[in-house]
Amino acid sequence: MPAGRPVLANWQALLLVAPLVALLAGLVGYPLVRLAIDSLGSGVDLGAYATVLESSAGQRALVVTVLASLLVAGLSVAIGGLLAWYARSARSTWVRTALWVALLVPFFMGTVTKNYALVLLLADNGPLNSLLSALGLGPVRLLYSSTGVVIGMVYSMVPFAAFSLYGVFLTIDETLVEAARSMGASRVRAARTVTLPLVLPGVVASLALVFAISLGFYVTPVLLGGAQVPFMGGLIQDYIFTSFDYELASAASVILLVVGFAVLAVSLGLIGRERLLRAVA
Amino acid sequence: MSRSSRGRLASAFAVLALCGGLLPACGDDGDEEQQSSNPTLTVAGWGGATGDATQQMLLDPFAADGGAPSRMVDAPGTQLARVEAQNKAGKIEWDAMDPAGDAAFTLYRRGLLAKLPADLKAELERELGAERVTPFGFSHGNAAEIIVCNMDKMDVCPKDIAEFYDVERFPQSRAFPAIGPIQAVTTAQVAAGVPREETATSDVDVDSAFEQLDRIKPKVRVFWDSGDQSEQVMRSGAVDMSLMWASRAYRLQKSMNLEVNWAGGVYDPSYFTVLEDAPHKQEAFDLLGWIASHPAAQANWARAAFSSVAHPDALASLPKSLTDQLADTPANFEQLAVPNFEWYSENTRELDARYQDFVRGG
Repeated sequence: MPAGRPVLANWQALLLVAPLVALLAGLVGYPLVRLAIDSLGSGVDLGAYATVLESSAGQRALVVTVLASLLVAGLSVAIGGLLAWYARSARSTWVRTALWVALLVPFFMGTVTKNYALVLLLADNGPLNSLLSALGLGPVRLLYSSTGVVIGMVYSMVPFAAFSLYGVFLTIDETLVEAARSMGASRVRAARTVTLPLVLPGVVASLALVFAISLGFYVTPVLLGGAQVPFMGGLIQDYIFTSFDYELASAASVILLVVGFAVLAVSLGLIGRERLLRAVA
Repeated sequence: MSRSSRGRLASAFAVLALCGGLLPACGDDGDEEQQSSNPTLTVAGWGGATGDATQQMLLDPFAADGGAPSRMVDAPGTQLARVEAQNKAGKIEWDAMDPAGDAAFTLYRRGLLAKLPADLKAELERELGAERVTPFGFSHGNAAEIIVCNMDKMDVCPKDIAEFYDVERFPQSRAFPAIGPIQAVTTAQVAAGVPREETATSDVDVDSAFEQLDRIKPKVRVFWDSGDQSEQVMRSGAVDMSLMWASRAYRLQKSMNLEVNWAGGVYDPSYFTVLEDAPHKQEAFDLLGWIASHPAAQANWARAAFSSVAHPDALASLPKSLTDQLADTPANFEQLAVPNFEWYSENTRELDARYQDFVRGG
């Protein structure tokens, strides 16, 4: 067969992707459009948005969610990046195996199990605080605080960051670094001028991925933070199950979506569309 | 394979995939027919041990006694939202349920719970006493939120709700419910000086109640979202005292040095009710009548669910070790404030929003 010649006619290709498009339109497109319509209410106005954004609970939940998600994204990418780099570079099979096990265990643990394990670890009378107290550094208030929530979220998100960055690190041609070194660049300069530009799009993509997932966290803030560490997920749950106010729940969800899309847009602007797509491809 | 045969294969696959994607949306049209020919009642409850107790001690004996068979569905704390959702979808699926008082009164005001037939209401009042019966059901599975102190961390426990709100005298850390705004506000009313005998009938002075709540907020380390979490915060040592459900407190007391005080706590009843558009309304009313008139079954339920029941004969047949821990036992009930659920059902959205701001806001 001549190279570049399409196997399928256009109409056949369209027919093949039609179910996927129909599923996406039905399961993703329709709910999102419906969400936006519901948020406008019967009066078709922005009253629900005003209610959410003017309420003390809504404002605090939005601020806490965005700030915690930013922190979680930064910490997860830093820790996940280090682990991914070592997983790529380590020569010892044992070390690589240990790193992968450390990454995969939290990834495969059930959400509730994982968070209850952390409840026991972070409790005032738990092992971590006992250790800190023995060292004269504690006890520290970890559970039912923003700190506990961030720890729990980072624990969940490190594998996501590591997996996405591992793929990026594998694409780095080490001979470029060796070439820079052979031409007199120091280790740090080679990392800064050669490695960093190569991994930066992947790092930004990873940050955006972790941030977007973190925005939607619900179980971890509830179990490790309690209601006094409000997340948008908990607020939406309140609107639905306590108040049965779909209008407010929809408005809060759209606000969260807009924040998520805004971050993606900023990521695109920072890195450029082509480099970002290459990093996530 | 030639290009044309590959193309035919691809076309066939595409058509199959399209059909596979679309057909499920057209299916399941026999549900309505099955429902109309099947008399099984659907009863929504609290799940867990309480749900099991309801199935085994109430629903199964009712069926064995000639009533309609029933099945439980779990809807802990979400009865109001799920009934509203069913109503919005135009198809009520549940027949009966036992929502908490705040949800029950709100649903009745919104026309989603059935009014009891006069003869059934009279029968319920005869069996249980008029104070346990409302126009839409009878109280069942009644709880109370009471004061609990970890005596390994405190020398003296607040003896009543006014002292619980006294942060100068008791500066220790507290846990407080994030759920049930009217229950929380009722405790604040008592702390503000409203006699506990009057809370059930007097309108809530919202500003005065929130002044009290604002006083203790700096000392509230955890606003608990669930009964399980209310136990966890005490067990983990996160707080020194709590306002929590009595059944949870006594369970915790088996493994911790806790003091429990009922004075000024808040009564937190649930109600057995029938939905206005229930598919099997008459059978559901029969179920309510059967439960109310079978104190032995109620007593069995109370033992299994570790929760209170309305029938005086049922309470009288329970061991003292259990009744000491139940909200309907006169010695306990006399110390509790009863929320004004009628007022709440008229002011649900306002109070919910303000309490949400109090708990989650800055």
